[in-house]
Amino acid sequence: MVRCPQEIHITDIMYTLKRKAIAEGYYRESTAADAPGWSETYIDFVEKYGRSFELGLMTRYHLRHHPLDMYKMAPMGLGMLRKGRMDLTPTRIKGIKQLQAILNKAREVGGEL
Amino acid sequence: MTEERIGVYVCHCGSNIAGVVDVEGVAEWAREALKDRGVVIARDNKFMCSTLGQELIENDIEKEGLTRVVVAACSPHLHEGTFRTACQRAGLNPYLCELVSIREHVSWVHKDKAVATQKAKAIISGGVERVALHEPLEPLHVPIHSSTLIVGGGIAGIQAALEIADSGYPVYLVEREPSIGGHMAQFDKTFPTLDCAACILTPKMATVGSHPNINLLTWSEVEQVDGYVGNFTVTIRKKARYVNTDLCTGCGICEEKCPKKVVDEVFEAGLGYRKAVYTPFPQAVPKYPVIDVDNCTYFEKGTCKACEKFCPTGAIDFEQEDEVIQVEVGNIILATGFDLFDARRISQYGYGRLANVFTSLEFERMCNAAGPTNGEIVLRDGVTKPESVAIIHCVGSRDKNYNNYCSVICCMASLKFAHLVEERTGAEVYNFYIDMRTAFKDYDEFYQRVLEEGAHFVRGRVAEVTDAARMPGEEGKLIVQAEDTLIGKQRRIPVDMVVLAAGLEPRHDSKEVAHKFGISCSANGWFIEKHPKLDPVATMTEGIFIAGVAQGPKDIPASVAQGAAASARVLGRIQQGEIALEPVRASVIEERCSGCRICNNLCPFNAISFDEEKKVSVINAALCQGCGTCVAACPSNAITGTQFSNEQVLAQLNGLLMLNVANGHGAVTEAERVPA
Amino acid sequence: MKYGYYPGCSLERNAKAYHQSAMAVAPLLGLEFVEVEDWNCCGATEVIAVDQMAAYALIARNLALAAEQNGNGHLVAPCSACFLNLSKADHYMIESPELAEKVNTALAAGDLHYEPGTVKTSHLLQVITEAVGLEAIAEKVTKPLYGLRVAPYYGCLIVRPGFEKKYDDYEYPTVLDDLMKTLGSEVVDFPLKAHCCGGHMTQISEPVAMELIRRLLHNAAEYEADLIVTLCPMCQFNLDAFQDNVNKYFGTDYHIPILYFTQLMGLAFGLSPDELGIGTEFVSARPALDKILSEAPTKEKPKRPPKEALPMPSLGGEG
Repeated sequence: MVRCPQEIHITDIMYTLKRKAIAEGYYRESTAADAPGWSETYIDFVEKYGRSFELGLMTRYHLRHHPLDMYKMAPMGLGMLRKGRMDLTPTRIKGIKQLQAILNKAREVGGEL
Repeated sequence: MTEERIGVYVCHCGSNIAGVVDVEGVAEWAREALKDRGVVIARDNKFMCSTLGQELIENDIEKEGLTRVVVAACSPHLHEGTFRTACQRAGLNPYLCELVSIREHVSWVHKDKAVATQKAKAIISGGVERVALHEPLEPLHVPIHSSTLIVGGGIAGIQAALEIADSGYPVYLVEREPSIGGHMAQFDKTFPTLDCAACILTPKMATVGSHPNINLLTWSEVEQVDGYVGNFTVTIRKKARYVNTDLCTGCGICEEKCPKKVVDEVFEAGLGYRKAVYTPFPQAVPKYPVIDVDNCTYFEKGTCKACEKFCPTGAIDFEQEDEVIQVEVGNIILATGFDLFDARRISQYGYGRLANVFTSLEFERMCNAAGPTNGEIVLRDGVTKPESVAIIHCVGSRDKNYNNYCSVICCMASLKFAHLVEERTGAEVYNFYIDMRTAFKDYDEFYQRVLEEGAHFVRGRVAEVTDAARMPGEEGKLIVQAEDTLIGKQRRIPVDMVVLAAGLEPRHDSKEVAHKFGISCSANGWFIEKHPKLDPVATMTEGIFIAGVAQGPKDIPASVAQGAAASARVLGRIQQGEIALEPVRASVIEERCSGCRICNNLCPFNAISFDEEKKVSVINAALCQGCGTCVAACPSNAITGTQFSNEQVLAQLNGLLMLNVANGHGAVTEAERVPA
Repeated sequence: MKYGYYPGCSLERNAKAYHQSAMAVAPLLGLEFVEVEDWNCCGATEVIAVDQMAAYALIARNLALAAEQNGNGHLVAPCSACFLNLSKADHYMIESPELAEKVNTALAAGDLHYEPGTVKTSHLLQVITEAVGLEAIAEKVTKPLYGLRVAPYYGCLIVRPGFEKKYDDYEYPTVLDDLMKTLGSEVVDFPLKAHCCGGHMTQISEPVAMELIRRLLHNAAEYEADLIVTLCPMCQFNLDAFQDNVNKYFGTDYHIPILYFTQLMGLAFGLSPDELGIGTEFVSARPALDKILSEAPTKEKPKRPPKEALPMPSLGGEG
């Protein structure tokens, strides 16, 4: 939308196409076949705790998608823990039930705008 | 109950009106229901405006002795003149005819036929009530002064001036810069013939400079315009040149000796220098230099005076002052031209930040043999020849973020640049375009020629111009990134130099200028013509014409054509010697005027003045255009208008409302009338 | 001036230094940040890729809570992604009553409601430069960062996508540059300052992300920057934590520390590095910070351009 001479909201269109690709399963043949896996794992944690949980996200995602490459992440993971930049356990918000109710209702309402 | 004999004529307009409104029924109704309101005859016809339709009216006027006519058809903008003339032919004063619109106001905007028919009846009813109160009027005849004012000394203005002057009438040509020539004087070659711009322009400029009928006022600006068509009084400020033009020979020694060098933002487009005392270019007309007060050492500090010392005729006069003169003219032509789009606004193209990005105007100056590089195409360092050049089309045009319109000439200009680069440097040329707009005579042939000469064309709007190299071969170059939509791939093309074909924009002060002359500007800032298709050089203000790019982007042949067209219109007026003005005017009822003067400042045509002795406002009938603003604004109800008096307007309202009051049955009693 | 404060998930741990330095610097500038109670994740770029309504509802819960808790409707988000999400959701809810209705239906399931337009979200940089102003900041500078060549890196989300009232120029923002100049440092204007750092591509498609990060590091190194200053936790993480990976992947040898602008502000205000979380970065900032001079370096006389050179377009003018 910034440069588009016809003022088209390009990022919104890209997100819509992404959602459709995931819903229809087209992503499986793409070069970013792992992307929905990442996003869905991320969302799982947010729905469960209300905040993102990096350690959990990384471990689960890599175990599911590139288990053999996990060793590459190890040094960085250790570095993060050492520098205090990563939590070992997730933080749960108080209103998690409220959030879950809201998200469920949103999914029920659904639709694309 | 009126004594007038009114004829009502309802037009079918083919199926335009008849398709929605029951026109025969309406005519029938008018005949019956409006009988006791003066209607003696009511007809309907397929095309009222046709000769047959008009003859119907004319015959009725003669045979039935009609004293008023109401035509229910299209908008008065289109055929008011037609029907008024028809009445005049039959001997009825044209202003006793009223045209009410049941097309634009009814059939074209409503779908429900029953409702539309009712509305048509109501509108006709209003017309009938109104027309009974019309007065027979005579148009105002005003003489046309034979002098003409032309504002803007570019190619359009020059052409107009020569046409009028050659016909034997005097012209005042006012130009803001020290010399005439406009943007065309800055160009090197003109497309498609590749004629040298100066070579074809300077003969015309020279003729203007020596023409006995042209009073050339350069380094001057119009300050105020008073009056009306045929009789304008224009106040012009002749800015001080600080050079005595009676003594100056144009030798140029002052310019040579002047120690102060500044960047020339106007003529050299910021690419070259000039002195503080200067003529913009060697073939300037008139040849007299001017002193740039903001940059002259004498005016800043009181020292130097080198020009005065060296001038062989003693023509430098530091004491000179602006001279304000007033001239009387009959018509005005505005040919003020354009400004170039400021390419800095598109930051991703890097203009202003990356040294080797140039605008089209800068590139023209570079190619010009009399320009800052003597015609050599070089990079910003002034020395290196580029081995590859990218030319980007549509910079600031066809873009909702900047200007939505197409600037018409940039595709051709870009092709011209491509040709010049190939010719003079042998460099690789890449044109990045969206569409090739090469519409006119010999233009597409020129495109084909450039294609054959080996220029590369990439169809894709450029995303960015950057110096951040990513791959080998890009170091030290400017990289143009665009999607080549014909092959469907992104391309990064490293080049040495980038030329931006910047769009055309209205002059930055076009709105003020329009206001000064009493014409309108579009939202973009271009002057508005009377009709976009059929009247491109006239404006809604009588006596003021527009020509050239001031009316909208166009190439040189079109500007010349418009300049000539405007002058033809003016000559026609001068030839007739007088013009008939519409008598639709406002006037002040002196007894009611309280002297509050609210109306004075409201008039968009400056037609209202104040009589100090009588302490009342006075409306100049010739200046007044009958817009009605003052009538509405007057708190004492002291202003009324011919053809739109309070009585007439209220009568029309009464007529419109009668149908509702009577629940749509059409018959109304005196008692139900709304009082005037 | 009181603001609702939305830290976002990163500032809790990964970008703890950003949070720490922001909190240290805020009181000195007269800013009061009150954290929104029980805020939830904004969804980053993940949720909206899968489910549109859920994404907006997720964001809207935060807006609703912020509206309830902070009367004046000002919300500040230090993370660019959170800033984008919050302001985008609000903007679209204002523009589309249909969306607002759907989102509020979802919120109602949690007994919440959000009236579009109530909360105005600003990025932390925006608040500091607009509400406080560069002059007030200049007054607080006690230890100017003389001699430090700083490359301001905006990342992509703070300036794009563009809404009408989005922040600074989309292509070539200069706000952070001006702030860094106010702190006394030497600003390196590198052209890729608003280019993407790769975001979460480091996990999804490593070659793409590595190349994007390499370009940024390469460009900053080309312009001889001592350190890169950033305003988004993702950018800091990618450029910092993955620098070693990039070096291994391409065989390069970059050692450019990445700091947050609040950390540099804190240093210029005289706070200690520990207070500002300096030391948590992977590529140590110590060598760069040691370069700071105690007095302003003498300005070199600008060289006269050669006679043949053509003048550059003048800055300013009737644009």
